[in-house]
Amino acid sequence: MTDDHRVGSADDAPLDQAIRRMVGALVEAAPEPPPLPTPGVTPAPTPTHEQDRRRWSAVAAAMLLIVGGVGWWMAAGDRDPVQPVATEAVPVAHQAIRWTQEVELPCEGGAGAGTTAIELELWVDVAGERVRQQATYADGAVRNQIWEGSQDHPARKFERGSSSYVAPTCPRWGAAAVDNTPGMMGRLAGPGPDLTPGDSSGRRIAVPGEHTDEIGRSAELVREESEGTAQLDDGGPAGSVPFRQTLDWYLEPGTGRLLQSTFRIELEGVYTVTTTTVVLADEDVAVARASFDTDGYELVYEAPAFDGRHATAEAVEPTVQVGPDRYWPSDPTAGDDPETSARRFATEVLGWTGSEVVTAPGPDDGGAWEVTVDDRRGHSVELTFVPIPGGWELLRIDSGIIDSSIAPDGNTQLDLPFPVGTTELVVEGHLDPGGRRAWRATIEAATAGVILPETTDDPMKLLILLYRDAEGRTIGAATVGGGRLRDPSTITTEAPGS
Amino acid sequence: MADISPEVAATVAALSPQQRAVIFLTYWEDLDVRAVADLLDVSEGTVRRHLARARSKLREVLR
Repeated sequence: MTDDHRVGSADDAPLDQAIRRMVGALVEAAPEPPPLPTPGVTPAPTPTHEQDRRRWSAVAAAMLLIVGGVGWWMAAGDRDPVQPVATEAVPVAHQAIRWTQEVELPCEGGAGAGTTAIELELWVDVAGERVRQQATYADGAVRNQIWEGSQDHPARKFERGSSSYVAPTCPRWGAAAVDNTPGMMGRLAGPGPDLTPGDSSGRRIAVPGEHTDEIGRSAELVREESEGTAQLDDGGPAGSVPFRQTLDWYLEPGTGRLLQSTFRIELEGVYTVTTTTVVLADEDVAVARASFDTDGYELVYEAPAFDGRHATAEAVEPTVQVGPDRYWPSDPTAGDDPETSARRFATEVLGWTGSEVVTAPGPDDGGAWEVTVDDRRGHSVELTFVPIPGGWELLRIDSGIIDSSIAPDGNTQLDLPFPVGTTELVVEGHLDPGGRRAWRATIEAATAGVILPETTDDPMKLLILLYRDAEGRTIGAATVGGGRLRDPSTITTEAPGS
Repeated sequence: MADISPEVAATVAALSPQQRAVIFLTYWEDLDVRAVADLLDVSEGTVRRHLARARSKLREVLR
C-alpha cells in the first residue's frame, strides 16, 4: 500500500482516530450470528455469487447502521432476534429461502412424488471465502455444509447432518428435472435484462398486470415459456415425449430483486414437477466468526495440491462451437442418437476420422448414454450424452480429476493430469461473460496446470480441453464447467440440500 | 463498548450506503483507496469523493 492510496493527511489524524473509534464501537454492537445447529441434526451448503463485491458495500453499510447495540440492523429481521455482540463478528451475505417441490409421478415404482419443503439459509463470508448453508427438512432433519474457497471450486468442503430429500425419479426415466435455485445465490439476482411490462426478450416476457408472490408481496412478473419434444429413449415405445416448461420470476418493483421463482416442467405422461423458491430474506448481516467453525463436521472434500508450475496459455481463435448452455453441440440438431452425435463430435472436434465408436447398450438410470470413441491409434475418449429437444447433448468427457480454481493473478487456473505424449493443450470454451474463447498452451514434463488469461472473477465457463501430441494430433479430451455465474434458466437435476 | 451519542448515530444513519461502505472498509478493514475501489468495483476517484463527504459530515459530530 502506498501513501498515495492512503486517505486523509496528517492534519486529519485526530478525525481519523475518532472515526476509527466510532466504527469500532458500531461493529462491536453488531448482533450475533445465527446459532450453530444442534448436535445430531443436519446442515447444508452455500454459494458465492457474482455480486459479491457489490454486496460488500451493503455489508459495510449495514455494519455502520448498528448504533448503540439497538437496532437499525438491516439483517436478522424477524427470524433471528438481534442479540448483543461480539467482537468476533464477521459481515456476511445472508439469505433465507423457502423451497418447495410438487411432483406428479405417474410411473410405477417411482420415488419423490408429492410435496417437499425445505427451509434454506445461506451465509456467505466474502472476505473469509467461506460459505455455509443450512437446510431444514420437513421431517426435522437439518444439514449444514461449509465450503472454504468458492462453492464451485472449494478448497475444502465439510458436512454435518444428512439430507432427507428424495429426488423425484422413475425407474424408466431416471431423475426428473428440478430447479435448484436455492443452491445458487448468484441465480437469485433475477432474470435480467430489465423488461417493461408487455415487452419481451427472447423467450422471456414481462407479464402485464398486478402480481403478487406467494407471501403477498407486490411484484413484477417475468415469464419464460418453452415447449418441444424430449427424446426419452428407454428402449420402450415412448420415443418422443412432448414437454412444456414455464419459469416465472417475481421481482421487487423498482429494484428488480428476486422475490420468488417458480419453475414448472411437464413431460407428458412422464412427470410434472413444480419447484418454487421464495426469498424470505436477502440481506447483509454480521454473524459470529464461530458460525464457520468446522468442529463436529466431516471433511468430505479437499482439493488436491499441485506443486508443478503452471503454463500461461495464449489466446487463439475459437474453432469449436461451444455453446453458452452446453459444451456441444451449440446446434441441438447434431444427431438423432448418441452414436451419430459421438461420430460427429469425433470428426468435427477431435479430428478423428475413421474412429471406432462403441455405444453402451442403454442409458444409465439418469438417462445419460455413454459412448466410447477410439481413434484406432491407441487413444480413446469416454463421452456421455443426454437427450435434449431435437438431439443429444454432450454432458461430459470422462477424464482425470481437473481442478478449476483462481490463480494468484485472478485468472482461471486449471490443474490437471496430462496424458502421456501431450505437448500442447487447446482449450475451447464459452464464458459468461466473455463469449466464445480459445487458448493454447505448450505442455512440458513439469507442467501441472494452465492459467487462462483474461478470465478474471471466475466467469461461468464451459470448456472443452483437447490434448495434442507433437504432431498436432488430438490424443485425449476433457470437459470443465463451473464458475461463479449461473444462468437462471439452467435446469439441473440437482436439488437443494440433496 | 464505547458509547455512541445519538447525534453521531443520527449522522451515521444519514450517510449514504456508499459513504458508510467506504467508511467501514477504510477504518475497520483498514483498506486503502485502491483496495476499496477494487472491492466496490468503482473508481478511486469515487471512493475519495464518498470518503471526503462522509468525513466532512462526521467531522461536525466527532469534534
